[in-house]
Amino acid sequence: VTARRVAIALLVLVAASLLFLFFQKQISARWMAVPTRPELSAVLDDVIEDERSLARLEPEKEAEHRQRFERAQQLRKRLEILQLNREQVTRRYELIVWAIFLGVALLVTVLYLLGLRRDEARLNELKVFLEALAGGMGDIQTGERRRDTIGRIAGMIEETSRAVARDRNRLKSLEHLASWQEAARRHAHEIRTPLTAAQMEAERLADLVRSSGGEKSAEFQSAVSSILEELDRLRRFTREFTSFARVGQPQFQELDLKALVSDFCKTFGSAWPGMRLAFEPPRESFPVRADPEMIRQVLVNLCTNSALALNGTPGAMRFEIFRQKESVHLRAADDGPGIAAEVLPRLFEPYATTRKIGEGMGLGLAISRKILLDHQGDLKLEATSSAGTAFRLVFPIPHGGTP
Amino acid sequence: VILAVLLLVGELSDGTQPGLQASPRANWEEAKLRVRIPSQVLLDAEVRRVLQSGLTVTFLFEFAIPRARLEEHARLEVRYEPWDETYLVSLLSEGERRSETLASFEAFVRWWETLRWTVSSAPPLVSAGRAELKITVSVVPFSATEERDARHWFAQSIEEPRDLGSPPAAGGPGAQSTRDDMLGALITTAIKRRALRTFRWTVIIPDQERR
Repeated sequence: VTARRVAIALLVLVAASLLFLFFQKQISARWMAVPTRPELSAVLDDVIEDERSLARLEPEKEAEHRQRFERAQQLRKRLEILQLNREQVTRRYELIVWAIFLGVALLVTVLYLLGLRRDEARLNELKVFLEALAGGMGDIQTGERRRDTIGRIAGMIEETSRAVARDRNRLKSLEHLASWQEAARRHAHEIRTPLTAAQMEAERLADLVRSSGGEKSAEFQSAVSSILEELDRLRRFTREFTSFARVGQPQFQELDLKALVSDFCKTFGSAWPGMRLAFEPPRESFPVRADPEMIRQVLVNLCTNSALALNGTPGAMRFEIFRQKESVHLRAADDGPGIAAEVLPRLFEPYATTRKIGEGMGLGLAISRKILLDHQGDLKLEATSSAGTAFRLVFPIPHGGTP
Repeated sequence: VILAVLLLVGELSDGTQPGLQASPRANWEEAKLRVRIPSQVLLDAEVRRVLQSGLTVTFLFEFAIPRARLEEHARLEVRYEPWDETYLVSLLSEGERRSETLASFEAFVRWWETLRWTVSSAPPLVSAGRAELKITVSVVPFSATEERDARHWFAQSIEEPRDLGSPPAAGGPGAQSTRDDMLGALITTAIKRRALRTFRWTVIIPDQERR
């Protein structure tokens, strides 16, 4: 605590003390005026005189009058002593009250200065965290739990550091996905050219076999047809590569997530046989900035994964929207068998799948996450067990978008 | 203007200490230096008021001859008895106590004027030459017993009134009583015996041989 602050505190203490003393003097001198009013003594003098006179007039009641006389006389003497010491008693009273005030004020000042010292120490600690934040450190825990100004600043540092960490993770994920996208694009390109040529040659071969009409024509036709089927499967895979490589930037628009999910459930309600889409729209609306086509694609991917996991057994995908802190959350939970434990560590990486070869390349969740990251949000696995799996789509609330 | 100011100052000083107008007289009587204190002391407005209040007023006399390093003390206690309208006086001087009952204030004044306060025998003053006698009379308006009584009464008067039916105060009745006692003691000790008036004179001791 600086000497300047101590000096100011002491100055305030002295000023408050003097002011108190001044105003107290105005009050305390008055209450002492009550018992020392001259009229009290005058009345007592009358009583004393009356009792003495009455005793003479009623000699048989002299003792009674004498007793009253003595009582009045005693009170008269006491009041006289009080009158004689009026100034001293008033001063003493002022001194006591002032001492109490000064004691309390001194205690408050000491507590204030101690508080200042503690706040200085806390600020110095926060300075270290601020330097760490400036150095790019994420997920800082200051350990501040108080709700005062410094506590709130500490909270802001923690929040900012969390945002820094979040952005860094998002950037890392996006870079990671971008490298996978680049690889997919190159692979698709490298495969597509010879694939097209091979398909054209195979189709020409099929025409030649059909027109030559030889004895082994049927056998050749079957072989060529088989080659064409394999090439078609290869094209589908290539298309999947291409779609991953071509995930573009979202075309943002203001929309109500509640309406989007409602429409999705109506449109795709019977798209996955055996799987029911359930959504109870809340009363309030949930405005977000999003690309509706992309979000629909994410929901389709999640539903497709759930339907594949259900593997024909009846089930349901339930949607729920709620607000948490500065985000809008859309939970998509199925009642499927859950995700295999070995996949969980790389769940959102491309080609992470437990499906058999030829049943999918495991790009759906990677694409979906990239879409949400491009929305400044995230796609998270909330829970998975044998009772089902829940994903959470996180959307930031647009500025001024709170209801 | 100077004269007017001097007259005004004289008037003011007369108003505050009327006793100064009449000075005590010191005389040698039977080889003893005796002093007579003027009765104007009793006529001072403040002194007369407390004398008639019924309180025990104490006059403390101090006689000092600095040159001879001599100091004598005496005291006179006066209490007005309003029932009988008498003045009870008790004089302690030269190691003797004398009590009198006087019928009125005038009688008390007359009695006062008869008092001769013995300051000293001659021998220590022989070589003193022309010495000064310093006389101080302090008027203490009430006795120690009355002081105690007034303190006790005042302490009881300022105590927080306690209703037997009401719940005890925070900290329990013991704490309340201690707090009252402490605050009462702090305030009531401001009631203290102190001189209401102090009269001071300096008189020249007359030469013994010349008498």
